[in-house]
Formats: sequence, structure tokens, C-alpha cells
Amino acid sequence: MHYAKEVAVKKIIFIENSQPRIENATFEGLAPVVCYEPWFPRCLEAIKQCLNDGYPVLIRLHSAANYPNAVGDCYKQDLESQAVLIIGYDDEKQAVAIIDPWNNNWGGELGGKRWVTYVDLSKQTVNTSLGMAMCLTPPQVNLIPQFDANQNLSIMANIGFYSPRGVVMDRESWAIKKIMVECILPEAWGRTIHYEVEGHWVVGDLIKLSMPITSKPKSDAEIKVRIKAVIQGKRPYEFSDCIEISKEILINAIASKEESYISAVV
Amino acid sequence: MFRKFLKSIQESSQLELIWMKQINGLIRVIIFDPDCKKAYVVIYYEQKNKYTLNAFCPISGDLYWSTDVPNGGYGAPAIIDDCVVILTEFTNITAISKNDGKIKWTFKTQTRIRSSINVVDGKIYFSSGGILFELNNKGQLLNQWDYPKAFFYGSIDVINELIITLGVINDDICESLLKVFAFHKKGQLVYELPICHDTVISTDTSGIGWQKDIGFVGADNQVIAFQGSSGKVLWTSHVEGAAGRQVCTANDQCVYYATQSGTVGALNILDGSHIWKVHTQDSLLVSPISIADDKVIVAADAHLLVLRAGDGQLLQKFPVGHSPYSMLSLNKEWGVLGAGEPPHNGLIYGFKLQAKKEAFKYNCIVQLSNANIENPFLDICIEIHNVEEPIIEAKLDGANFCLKDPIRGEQITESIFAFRIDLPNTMSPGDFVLPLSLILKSERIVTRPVAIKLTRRKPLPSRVYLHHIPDIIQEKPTYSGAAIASVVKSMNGNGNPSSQKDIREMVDAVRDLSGYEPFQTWRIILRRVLTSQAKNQHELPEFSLGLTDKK
Repeated sequence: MHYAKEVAVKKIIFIENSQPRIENATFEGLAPVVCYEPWFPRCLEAIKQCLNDGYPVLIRLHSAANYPNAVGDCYKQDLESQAVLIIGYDDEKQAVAIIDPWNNNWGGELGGKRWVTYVDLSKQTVNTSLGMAMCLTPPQVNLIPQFDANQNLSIMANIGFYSPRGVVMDRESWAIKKIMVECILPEAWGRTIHYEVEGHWVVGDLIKLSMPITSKPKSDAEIKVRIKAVIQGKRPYEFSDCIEISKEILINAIASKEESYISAVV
Repeated sequence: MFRKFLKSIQESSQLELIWMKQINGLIRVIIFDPDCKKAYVVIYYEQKNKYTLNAFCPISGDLYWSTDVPNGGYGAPAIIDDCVVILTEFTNITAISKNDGKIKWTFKTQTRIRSSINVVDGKIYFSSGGILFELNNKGQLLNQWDYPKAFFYGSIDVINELIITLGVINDDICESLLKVFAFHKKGQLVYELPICHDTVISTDTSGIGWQKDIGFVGADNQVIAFQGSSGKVLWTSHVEGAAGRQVCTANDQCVYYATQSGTVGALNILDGSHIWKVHTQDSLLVSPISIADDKVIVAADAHLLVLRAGDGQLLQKFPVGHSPYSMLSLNKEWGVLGAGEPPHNGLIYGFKLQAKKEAFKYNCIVQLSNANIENPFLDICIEIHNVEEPIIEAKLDGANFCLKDPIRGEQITESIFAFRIDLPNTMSPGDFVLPLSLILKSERIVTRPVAIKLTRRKPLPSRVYLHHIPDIIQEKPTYSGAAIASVVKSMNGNGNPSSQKDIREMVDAVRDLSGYEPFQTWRIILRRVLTSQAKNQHELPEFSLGLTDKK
């Protein structure tokens, strides 16, 4: 006897991500977001969405007897669990692709890249169906150069945490408190522009900045943008720290003889 | 002990919802006093790192007292004399007075606990790592049985003179092997029964199901029956999916199982032959089956399904939400279940096994439109049947949609209400159950669960693979998260990346400063370490600015 079984019909699309999501940027520090979805199907959805957005996901597997450790080490490892990195999924295989950093020279064959079925993932993830996953993401920074009708150049900046689907741990207390932007202009354009804004932006919020740069730039040029983000958290204790993002923007300039005008508004 | 609450012989024609209460946490297995005057449940509040033990009335849901303890540990609690014994701090068990909620004693171990507490003949049994413990009612150690490098989990039973449990051990081909372990009370290992290669289970309701001295073990694609006294396998039955997460439930005729592939089934207790099986819509069943009279009850598809025990036919269906760590606990004519939408929007339900069939009062029929996660809002129309008293207002709880205030319904007719809910862009597809409060003319409030299914209009790709991430190899057995962090940090970073050793030292320093338990090492602790430009411990602000006196 069977109930009608729901079958999801999906268009088969393959995405082979070979580049990080945010191109031409370097980061010093990350802005990880931890998901907490105890209902595993929703946890899996959040993981798949994160991968689809180009980011790997760190999860913890119950190590227990899976790894051939010495007596003392196996119980210590079991208390901390084995961290692995999810780097893909395949609905046809009903599995996620993981990198398990375990060194196979110590025994066993679990180290390296392998597939873990969705069912096994639901059993082995700490805490079984209590989905806890960390999206290993930098802050989301989108910089868009814009010219107005008078050929004044601005850079629009959208900055925020990566916002996954599902429940985010510490959503209200995990916040960006300050953004400091440094736009290093080419020598011919003048000087370096500094911009600073303070607030409380949590996962899901977007900091939108409009930064006038110069009017009627004379030639194509590259602007180096350095963004410092101060992040505050309350767990494991109250702390404040700073991470840095650097990115270069190529400007296709329009000739202009006037001097640059610099200001910044939120 | 929890398994005795999976069965009731009370005559019942139907299950009736008597009460429901909102709890802002994850609700676990509920156990009863024998006289049904009090029930006890552990609630997990993740944001506060704590478990709360609540004592409440199973008939009304009213709270008697609650006690907070540090969280940690997988396994259902038990009652011994005037105490409830629960797991705490991942490695300990704690006894709490049933009368006033005061902590009586704590017994500490050194390894992770994955066993339910059982009480047999006035003694407490549980396991931790590779040790089975026997304590008296004061928390004093009476006996222990060791198996080095084993990881015991699930229930522990005393069958004749044998102490029997499940466990895994890394075998001679370096794989995790699931076994039944049986020790004689006097100390020696009497038998080991290998089941199959499988991993440890960490949940509240795993273990061996029993009918007299025959044990039933669920595993990947199979259920096995064995003789408790000898370890002799009586039969093996193939089932669809992993049947080991939660215990099988048995009566004189059948063994009932639920799998992580969504199959519920009944096996003949004598030979394991299939009597019936049904496939639920969910791909994941994570609660054990309860037996009430001639019915079996399973949590699936965000509902409680009441099935006829003889052939599995659906008889009733209640929206309840999800219960990854709970089960329908029965005692006489009463049933209680922890569900809702964990982690923060839990619901406890109180049911009564009714001998006579009656129409369900204030029964809600739900119609949806715009029920896609991509839409900015969702429209719900709820028609309420079997109304006894005029309804003057209806409010839907919006916490599942990150709304602080309830959504007030527009009254279309006397019994139809329409709601428009703003959907945040962080919703996942799936079933959600929300409490609906109906305010009656007499100002009495009736609460009913309402199920909503959200779908995804634009499906995700069927395959994604991030090729740019290189191989990662940890330098020491306890460096797994440090190895990942080192590579991920270096992938987009400037200058010299942190070594695995540097990151491990930072993690250890942060954990030491915070006082957090090892469980949080590759989660909250690592999150803090990664949120920094620091290459080593001394560059973290809290260690370079003289803040370490925080400890």
C-alpha cells in the first residue's frame, strides 16, 4: 500500500563553479554565517543554496568509530567531531560532495574528496538531524561604478553578510558595526577618498553607500577600493574585530577637464 | 525507559487534540509519572546553551516548575524514585527532584554520552564512550563495563543477567562496525553480535526494541531480530531505507519500523515477513512509532499520521510540525508530543485517546496561494469547521516568518478568515506548522495548528560542484577544522596564510578564554577565529589588548 509519493520534476542544469563568487577581490578574514535548521530537509536546502551561491559549507560529522584513532584521541576527536567541507551536491546521486581532511596515512579511506548520501549526512551530521552548518563566506561586497548625466563618477557599494536560507544562529547579535572605505584613485585624478559609516547591520541587512568619486574623468583608470568591516559578536564572548576586503574597479572614463569633486553620502 | 511510553493498551477510536503550548525551543522526548499527574520534558535553548527540564500537567499542559542546566548529550531522560535523570554538558548526567526541580546530584564522565537513561530494579543504566555505567539512586557508581575504543549508544537493557546495548567500533578494515554488545552482570563480555557497517547514531530515541527477550535492531535497509540471552539471529528482514535512527516498536504480533527514506512498515514478529508498508511524502522519518490499541501513530510530513495497525491504512492526520528529537509519548489515555518548528518555535501537544468518535471541534481547513518562497507575501484562507461559539478574532503566529507580532485575520464570514503574510527572502521550502489563536465571543481562546507548505518556484540546479577548492589534509588528528580554515582563509587572502597549527592554537585560546565546551570547537569558536585578520593567537584583539582578564 502506498500513499501518492511526491516526485519533484526538475530541469537538469549543471553548474560547475570554477571561480569564487566575488571576483577580483582579496579578503583578510571572513564573515562566516552559521545556520541552524534542526529539520534536516530544510538544512539541506540551505546548504544547497549556499553552494549554488558559490560558497563551501563547513559541517561537523560524528567521528566516533569512523576514524582509526588511538584510544585517547578517538574520544577527544569524538567530543569535537570531524570538520569536513561540503563543496557540491548532486540530486541524481542524492549526495553531497565533501572534502574530508582526514589523513589516510593514519588509516582508513575517509580522507579526500568523496560523496556522502543525503541520508548518511542526516545521520552523521552533528547533531544528526540537528542541522548545523557554517557558510564559509566573506562579506558580500558589490561595487558598481556609475556616471550621471553630467558625467560625474560615483561608486555604488552594497555591503553585508551572506544571507542564507533558513535559521541563522545569533542573527540579532552577529553584526557589522562599522564600515571604513578607502578609494585609492589614480594619481592624475587626485587623492584618496575615505568614507566611514557606523550602524548595526545583521544577516539579511544591506549597507548601501553612494560614493561620489570624480567628475568627468579624463582617461580609463583603475580604482583600488579597500573596505574595512568591524564585526561584533556576543558568542563565544563579546568581541569586536576587523576584516578587510580589497577590490579593484576598472573605470571606462569619459574625458573631462574639470577637477574632481569628492564627497560621500549614505 | 522512554520505550515504555511508546505503547498504550487504552481502547481508542480516535486521537483528539486537547491542548497545545508554544515553547521557544527544541522539544525533546516527554516522559510521565506512572500516575500521569506529571510529565517531564527537556527543552533545548540553543541561543542560551542550556537545557531546561519542565515538569507539567499532561492533561492541561500547565507548567509546574522548570530548571535550567548546561546543555549537551543525546538520549531520553528517565525517572527514578523522586528524581528525573537527564543528560547534561555532553559528558554528564544530572538528577533533578520531581517535587521542586532542585538539582540533587551530577555524575561526570570523560566522554560523549549518546545513550538514553534506563532504570531497572532501582538502578540507573547509561553509557558514555566505551563504558556502560550502573548507578544507584544517589548517583553512586555500582558497576561499570568497559570496551576500549567502542562507542556505545542508544538504550541499555538488562535481560536476565545480561547488560545489552548497541555500539560501534573501528574494525580491522578501518570501518565503523555496528554491533550488539552483551556483558554479564559480573563483568565479562558474553557476546558481540555484528550487525553491519554503519555509523554511530546520536539521537534521543535510538536503541534496541524488545518484545519479551527478543531484541529488534534497525540498521541500513534491514531490521534484525535476535535472541537476547544468546545473541543468536532469528531473522533478518530487508526494508527500504535506514531504520536505525529510532528504535523499532513491537507488540505480540508485529515489529513496526520507520526509515529515513520515508517508509513505515509492519513485520511479522515470528519470521520478519512484511505485513504492510506505506511510503509517506517526507523523505525522512526520525521519530519512533507509537502503538495505541489497534493503531500505530507516526510523525511524518509535518503531521501525526494515525494508521490502522493491521494494514497501515490512514485513519487520521493532524498537523504538528517537526519532531527530530521527540516522539508521541503515551500513558493510559493521554498522549504528548514535542514538535512545532525547531529550533525556536516549538509546540507541545496534549492528546487524548478517545473511546468514541467525535467531530473535531474548530477544525481548520487551509487554502493557500502565492505559497512560493520567491514571493514577497503569502495568502492564507482558513475555514473553521464545527464551531461551537462565535469567533470574533483569529490570529496566526508569525514567528516562523521572522515576524514579531501575530498576523490578524480578516473575517470574511463567520467562520472564514483571510491572512496575508509578508515572506522574508530567507525562507526555505517545506512544511511549516503555525499556531492559530481563535478568540471566541466568551473571550476564551482556542488554539489550533495550521500547516503551510512552501514550495520553490525556481528550482535549484540539480548539481553544483565547486572546483576551485583544493585538496585539504589535516596535519594532526584533531586539526580537521583548522585544516579547512587554513585553506579557505588563504584562498582569497593577501600575504602569508595562517598555518593549521596557528589556527588550532587560536581556537584553543578562544575556547579556553570563553569556557565553552569542546562541542563548539568547529562552530562558534571557529567562527570567531575566522572573523579576523589575525594570523595567530597574539594578533587576536582579545589577546593583544590585555582583555584576557575576562576569564
